[in-house]
Amino acid sequence: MSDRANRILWVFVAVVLMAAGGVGLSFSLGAWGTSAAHADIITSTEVRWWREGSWMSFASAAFIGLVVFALGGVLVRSQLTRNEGRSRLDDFNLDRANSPDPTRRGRTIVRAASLSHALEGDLERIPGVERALVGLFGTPLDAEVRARLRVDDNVDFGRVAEQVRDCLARLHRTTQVSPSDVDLTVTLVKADSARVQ
Amino acid sequence: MRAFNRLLGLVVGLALVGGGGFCVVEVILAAIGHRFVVIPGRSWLASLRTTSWSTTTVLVVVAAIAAVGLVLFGAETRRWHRWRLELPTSARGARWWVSSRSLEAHVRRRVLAETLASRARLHLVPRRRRWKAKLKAVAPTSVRAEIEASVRKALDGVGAPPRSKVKVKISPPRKLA
Repeated sequence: MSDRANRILWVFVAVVLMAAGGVGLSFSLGAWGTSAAHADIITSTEVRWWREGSWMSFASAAFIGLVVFALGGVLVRSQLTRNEGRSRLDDFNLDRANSPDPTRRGRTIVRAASLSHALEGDLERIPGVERALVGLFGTPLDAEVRARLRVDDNVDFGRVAEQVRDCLARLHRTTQVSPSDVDLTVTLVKADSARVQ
Repeated sequence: MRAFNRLLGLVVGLALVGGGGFCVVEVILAAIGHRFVVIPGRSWLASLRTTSWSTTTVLVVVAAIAAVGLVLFGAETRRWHRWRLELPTSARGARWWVSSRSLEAHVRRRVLAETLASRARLHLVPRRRRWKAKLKAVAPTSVRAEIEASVRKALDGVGAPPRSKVKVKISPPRKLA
């Protein structure tokens, strides 16, 4: 779940809590009259409804429990999903088992992780880039590149941007992965800080 | 706040799973004539049938619910510090961002290195077309222009929007007794 979606969810929950608390307070403080303030939280009328409802009452309560259970499951799953639900790039599978030319038969699998590591290595060769972390998502024809770069604060950023574009062009030339959406986040680090290898 | 939201989502989600699951099991057991297993349903029912809305306990509980809602609403709707700022170079095919904390630290380092400021604290606020840089520094008031120029130079160096606004607030250094 994205940060924005989480925020909208909690604003909604906050409004519900405020409304519930406000209505409860209005009852407790006698805004609906003293008889309402002195009424029990569960009245005999509600108990009678439950009893008259027979199996329907149990079914309704079980259904509400089931809905709560399902909502909880969806919430837990959405919080544990990484990369805001985007799917990572699949491995390349170049299958030529049925090629008419026997010398060209075989199968080649290129792991997507090796591509992102290769791009990280290429980016880290740019002068001033200390560390690169790359995530590749989507499909090879419509790939998304998410990268985080730790860059020395004394470098020429225009030059770094050009070299990053060169790295992406090299990725495209070698693998035919065409990044349609590139998102790069730079973290500036003090240029003379000690590097940990 | 982002991490808090995520953790809260996880905790509330697990609570809903647990609560919903218990509710279903207890209701099914009650429907076939069994007693409540985990939830003390009978004592809760008896208590709720004899407690009125005006009792102090109920008042405290509903006030606490409203207060939690109010605090959560305030925390979620206030303006958050953006963890990254988009650079105008984004137009060249890729979206470029810079970590706001690291940029603030970088500008602060530059100001301290290039001017007579002895302390500096920067806060960057992104606006639609430009950023707003608010810097608080401990320095002689005569170096205000110098500090402003240093901030501008540091921001230009990373490709910040050209018409970004720089606001410098200076506190003069305390004189030693």
